[in-house]
Order: sequence, then C-alpha cells, then structure tokens
Amino acid sequence: MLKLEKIEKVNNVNYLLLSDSNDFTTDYVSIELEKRGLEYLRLNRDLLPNFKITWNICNQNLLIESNEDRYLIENDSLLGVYYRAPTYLRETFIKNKSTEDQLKQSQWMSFYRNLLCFDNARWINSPSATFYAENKMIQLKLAKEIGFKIPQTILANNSEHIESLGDPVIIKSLDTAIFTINEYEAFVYTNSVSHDELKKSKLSIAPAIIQENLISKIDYRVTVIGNTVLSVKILNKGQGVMGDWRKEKDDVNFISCELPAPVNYMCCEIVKKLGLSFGAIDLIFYKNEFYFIEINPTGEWAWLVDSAGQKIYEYICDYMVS
Amino acid sequence: MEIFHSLAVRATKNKGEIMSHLLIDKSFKYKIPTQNESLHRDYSYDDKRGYWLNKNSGHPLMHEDNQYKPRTKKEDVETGEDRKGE
Repeated sequence: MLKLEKIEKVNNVNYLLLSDSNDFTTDYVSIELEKRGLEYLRLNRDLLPNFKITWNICNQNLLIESNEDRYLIENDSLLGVYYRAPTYLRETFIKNKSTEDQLKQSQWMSFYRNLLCFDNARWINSPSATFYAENKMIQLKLAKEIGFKIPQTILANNSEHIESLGDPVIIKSLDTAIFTINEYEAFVYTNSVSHDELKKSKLSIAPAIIQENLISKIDYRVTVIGNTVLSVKILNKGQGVMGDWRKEKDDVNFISCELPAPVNYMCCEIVKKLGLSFGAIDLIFYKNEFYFIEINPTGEWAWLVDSAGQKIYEYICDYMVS
Repeated sequence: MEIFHSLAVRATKNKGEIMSHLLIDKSFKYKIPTQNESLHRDYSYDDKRGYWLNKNSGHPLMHEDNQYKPRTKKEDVETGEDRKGE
C-alpha cells in the first residue's frame, strides 16, 4: 500500500503525455496544456530511470517521484493520455545494445502499455487500437468498405500476378522498414518500379505491397482528431509530385484546403472504425477522385504547424479535455 | 535533425554489391544518426514543463525558427511516425 498520507505535496495528474525527450512534437502539446493551466505530466521513456515509480494496482494509484516533485495518477482523475510511442518495436536491426538497455527498453515499453489500466481517460491513441490499425491490408480493406477508392493492390512475395496493375507499379513495405546496410541505416519509401525490375528481384524473401501506379496525382495529407479534419495538398511549383513526396521535402508546399464533405466523412469514419481518435491519412487525387493510400495512427504533424498554419496541438488538447 | 539530413545519401548500389530484394535495393540510406551536440549546447529539456527551452532566450524550442523543429514528414526517419524515438 502506498502511504500517501506521508507524502506532503502530491500533484494530481489530469493529462499524461507518454513520449520520448527527443520527440519535439510532444513539446507543442506540453506548451498548450501549460498555457491552459492544466495539470499534466510528460513521461519520456528515455528518462524514466530518473524517476521513482510505484504503482499499486489494488488501490489503482501510480506514484511518480522525481528529486523535486511527486505526481499521483489515479483512474478517476486522469482525463487524457497522449501516447507518442511505438506499439511495434522495430529496433530489431540494432545488435549492439547492452543487456541492460535491452531490458530497459522491453520493460519500460511494457509499462507504457500497462497504463491502459487507466481506462477512464481519453487516449490519443490507445496503443491497442494503434496495434490493430497499423496494418496496411486491414486499412485498405476497411477503406474500401467505407466507400473510398483504393489503388489496385496486391501483397505478394512474387511477381507472377502483376500484369493487371499496369507498368510501372508502386512497391512499398508492408510494415515500416528500417535496417542497416554496412555503416548506413536505410529507410524504405514508396518507389515506382518496372515489371522488369520486379521480376529480377528476389521477392520471395519478404512480401511487399505492389500497387497500381497513379501517375499525375496530387498528394493530400489529412489529419483527423476526433471529428476535426485538417487537410493539406502537397505541391511542388504548383504541381503534384511524382513518386513519394517525402523525397522532395525541401521543395514542396503544404497548402491548407477543404476536402469535399463525403471525403471528410470517410476520413472520420475510418479513424473511428479503427478505434482511433487520431489518424494521419495519405490520400491521392487522381482523375478527379480521391484515393485512400494509408492511415498512420501515430502520424507526424508538427511540420504542418508552421508550413500550413495548422495548430493541431490545440485540437489534440481539445479532444483530451472534452 | 537537419544535420542528419545533410548526412543522408541517396541510395546507391556499391559496385559488386548484390541486392536481393527491391525494398532493400530501393531504400534510402543515411549515416546512422548520432547525438546532436549543438542541441544540448543551445537548449535544455525542462522535466517539469515537458518541453525544450533555449538556454539564452528562455523561449520554447518549438516557438523559434531553428534546425531542430520537425519540418516535414521526412522526420519519420529519426523519431517521427515510424519510430517515435524507439
């Protein structure tokens, strides 16, 4: 039992931010909560060993102590959680972690997931929903059911059934793919490839998503928070970007825009049906229609604050507070 | 983060290197990120407030124009939507 009566001053936490100290995006949310005068605590996985943490599950209270402060988290008083942490551990490519680091990473990550005990709070997003939603085939199936157009798509570890997709096609990883190649790290973006390239590739070692290539497209980035939809179109010198726009990061503009009402509705629907409260959706406008490409439950948004004037942190706080 | 980008190199297949899968062959390669010393020289993380502050001006890092602010979704590669500081 925690002897809380012995603790002179405890700060009750109403809003909890689960992040990493290097995740600057979370800074926006901390600043906004502070501005509103709300009681919040940001816990960073990389700094957790600096705190003393004691969680009494019988009393359902979690005490977090630093050198200067004490914080108490209780199910009745915790109102919102902003979860900025991975649900899948993808550092399988790093082999040189110490045993201590391996233990630290796995156990603190589990601590984060166990915080789902605080089920009275509004989560952005619940890691269990994110776990489900971060699967591209599930996303595409659901998007189609909702009424979105989707590109012709196959998941395959061979190139025998790609004729109907046109040539060239899009190839992308089924899950985020980061690995090491000699002294480099490598990240897999979306790429346009020819049938010839696909046929020469040893696809059998891992499945990939192979998609119809929607050439002459315009990319849209849509951020959904609850029922709020904020969208931008992504242009380079006034034109849509060929291929993955992230490769032209310094040259593109993000133009704030309104989507047609039915598209807005479908964006909200897919977020809800995946059990999420937040989603960053990639759409493509092609031949006068919007195509769903994917949704990222832990999508990045901080760059849109300056580049498109979208104060997404305000909506995140609004959602948690409501 | 910009320092990481400046180190990034476009995927190039080394002579004689045989890539077996297109996802590897087409991947974007960059030098493994290291701790950014200038960040810690200019800014400090305030545990209590939960955000980074400029050591000189006292302003939040995110309210200033600087190289560390996420500028595109490209920040995926470091701590963004694909890894979240993993």
